[in-house]
Amino acid sequence: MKSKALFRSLANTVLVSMVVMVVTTAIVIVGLPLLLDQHDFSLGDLLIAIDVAFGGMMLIDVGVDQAFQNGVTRRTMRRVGAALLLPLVVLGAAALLVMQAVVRLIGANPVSLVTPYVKGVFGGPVWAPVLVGLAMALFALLGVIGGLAMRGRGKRVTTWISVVAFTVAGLLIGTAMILGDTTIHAAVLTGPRLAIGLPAAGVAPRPWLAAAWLLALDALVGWLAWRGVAQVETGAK
Amino acid sequence: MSEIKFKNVTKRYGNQQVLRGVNATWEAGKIYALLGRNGAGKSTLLRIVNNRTFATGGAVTLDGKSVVENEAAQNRIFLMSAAQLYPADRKLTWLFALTRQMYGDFDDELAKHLLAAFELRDSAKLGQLSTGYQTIARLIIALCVPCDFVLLDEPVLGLDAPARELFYQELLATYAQRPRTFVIATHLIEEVATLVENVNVLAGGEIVLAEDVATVLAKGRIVSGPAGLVADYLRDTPVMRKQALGGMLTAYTLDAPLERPLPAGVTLDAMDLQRLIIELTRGERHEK
Amino acid sequence: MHFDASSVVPLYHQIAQQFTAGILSGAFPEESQIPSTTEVARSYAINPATVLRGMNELVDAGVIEKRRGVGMFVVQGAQAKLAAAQQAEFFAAQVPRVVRQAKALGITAGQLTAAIEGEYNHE
Repeated sequence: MKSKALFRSLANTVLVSMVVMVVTTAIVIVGLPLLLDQHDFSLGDLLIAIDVAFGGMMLIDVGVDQAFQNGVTRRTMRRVGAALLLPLVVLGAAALLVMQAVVRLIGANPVSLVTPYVKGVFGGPVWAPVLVGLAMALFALLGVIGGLAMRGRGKRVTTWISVVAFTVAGLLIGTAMILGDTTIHAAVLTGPRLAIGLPAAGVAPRPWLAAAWLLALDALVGWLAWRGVAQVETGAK
Repeated sequence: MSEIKFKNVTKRYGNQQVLRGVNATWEAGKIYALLGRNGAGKSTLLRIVNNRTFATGGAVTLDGKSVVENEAAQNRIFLMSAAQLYPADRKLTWLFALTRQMYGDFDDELAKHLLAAFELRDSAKLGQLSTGYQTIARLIIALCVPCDFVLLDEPVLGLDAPARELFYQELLATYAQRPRTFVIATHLIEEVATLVENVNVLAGGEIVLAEDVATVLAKGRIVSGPAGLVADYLRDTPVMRKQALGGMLTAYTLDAPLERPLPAGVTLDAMDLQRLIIELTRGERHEK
Repeated sequence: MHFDASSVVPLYHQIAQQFTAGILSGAFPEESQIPSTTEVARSYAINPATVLRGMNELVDAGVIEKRRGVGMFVVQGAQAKLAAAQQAEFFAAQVPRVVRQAKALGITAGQLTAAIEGEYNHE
C-alpha cells in the first residue's frame, strides 16, 4: 500500500527530525534565560511555531518528490500529509504548553501570546490547548505552502529563507529578553490586539474571538495547501 | 494484453505548444525507442504517463482506464529519468526497501547481481555518489521493479561506453527472463537500434512514425544516381527529401520500390535509424 | 559474430546468415547445440524478438530444430542443405546481376563466358 509506505518513510525521517528539533528548541528557550538569570521568558512560542512551519516545509521538500518517483497519487499525498501534520501540530502545541508549565513551576514569568489564556500551571483546560493547537496548525500549513512555493526554486533559496526566518525570530526574542515585558506589549498595537481577542488596554482576553480568527485562517491556508498539492508537478525533467 | 494508449494528447506550457495531439499505443512486453530531437517533448510525454504532470488535453489510458491520479495504474508504471527524486542522504539499501514497500515487490537477487556488475556497494549513500553512479543506482532500481511498463528517459546520459554496453546487456537479460514493456527515450539512436523492437518518433508535437524497426529498415533507402534515372526509379514513390547536385540526385524514401530492377548507375544505400530521424525531423523548429 | 545495424540486410537475416556461415564452416557441427536466443540477444545487445526471427528462418529452412526443454540444435544434413541453398541463391541472384552489368557495359556473352572459364583455370 503506497500510502502506508509513504507515511512510514516520512514519519521515520521528517517526524523524527522534528521531535529532536522541537525538543531542543524548547530546552534552549527555557534553559537559556535560566542560564542568563533572566526572569522573563519571552516569545519562545514564536520559535516553536517556526519549527513547526519548517516541519511542514520539510514534509513537502522530502515527501513530494519521492512520492512521484514511486507512483503515489496526489490524493494519497494529501491524505498522508494530513496524517503527518497532526502529530507535528500536537508536538508543537505540547511543547508550548509544557514550556509554559515549566516556567510557571520555577516561579518565573512566561511572556508569550499564549500566556493570557493560561490560568494556573497547565492553563485553562480548554482554551490554551485549543488556541495553541489551532495556531500550530496554521504555522504547519504555512510551512506546507512555503514548501510548495519553493519547489523548483532550489535548495539554496529554501535554506536561506529558513536561516532568515530563524534569525528574525531569534532577534525578536533576544530584543524581548533584553528590553523586557512592557516593550513587547507596547510593540503590538492595541487595536489589532483587541481585534483578535488578545488582552489590551485593560480589556480581558476573548479566547473565542482568537479561536474564530485562527479557525478562519486555518481553513483558508488549509484550502490553499490542499489545492497546492492537487496541482503539484515535478520539474521539467 | 495490457497497453498504454495515447489519444490526442496535447500539452501547453504558457505560450508554447509542446505536444499537439499525440496518438500512440505501447503494447505489453515490447521494447520501444521513443526518438526525437532535444526539446521535442519526449520527457514531457513520459511524465504525463507517470502522473508527474498533467496533459492539457487528450487521454492516456492503461487497459482503458485513465492513468491520471490512478494509483493502481501507476503501480504498474515506473519512470526513471535524470531527475533525482530520491532523498539524497539515504543508502541504496534504504531506497531498495522503500521501492519494495511502494511497489509490493523488488527483485533483490537481480539488484545484487547488478550492483556487483557495476561495482557499486549497496551501503553507498545516493548523494555521495558521482552523477554517473547515481544514474546507475537509479537504473538498477528501474530494472528491479515489478512494473509492467518501465519508462527510461535518457537512461545512459553521463555513463561511459563500457557502462552503457553493460546496461544494454543487462536490460536485455532481464527482459528475456521477464518480458515487460520498456520505453527508451533517447537521442542516442545508434546505440539502441539493435535493442528495440519498435520505434516511435516524436516530431512537431506528434508521433510521426510508429513502426517496428525491421519494417522501417526493410524499405527505407537512400537512392543516388543520375537525376533522370533516380526520378524514374522512384516514380509514384513517396519521398521524404530530394537533394540535387549538378545532374545527380539523392532521394530519401521510406518505401523503396525494391521489386523494380535497379538501373545501372543508381545505388541503394540503407537508411539507418539515425538518418531516418534526421530526415523525419528536418525543418522542425528547435524549441529549447 | 558481428552485426551491422546500418546494413541493407535486415538484422534478423544477418543473424540467420551468420549462423549459416557457422554451420557451413563446421563451427557449429551437426547435432550440436547452438547458443540460445537469449544468449545471442544478451551477447550482442539485440532484441530477442529479432534474434528469434532470424533463428526461425533457419528452423523454417529445416536447418535448425528446437528440442523442447533443451535448446536449439543443428539438424543432421544441415550443411548439405545450406550449401545447396546457397548455390541456388547464387544462380538466382548473383548470376543475373553479373550478366546485367556485363550487358550494360557492352560485354558479349562469348566474352563473359571466356572470362569465367579463364578464372576457373587460374585456380
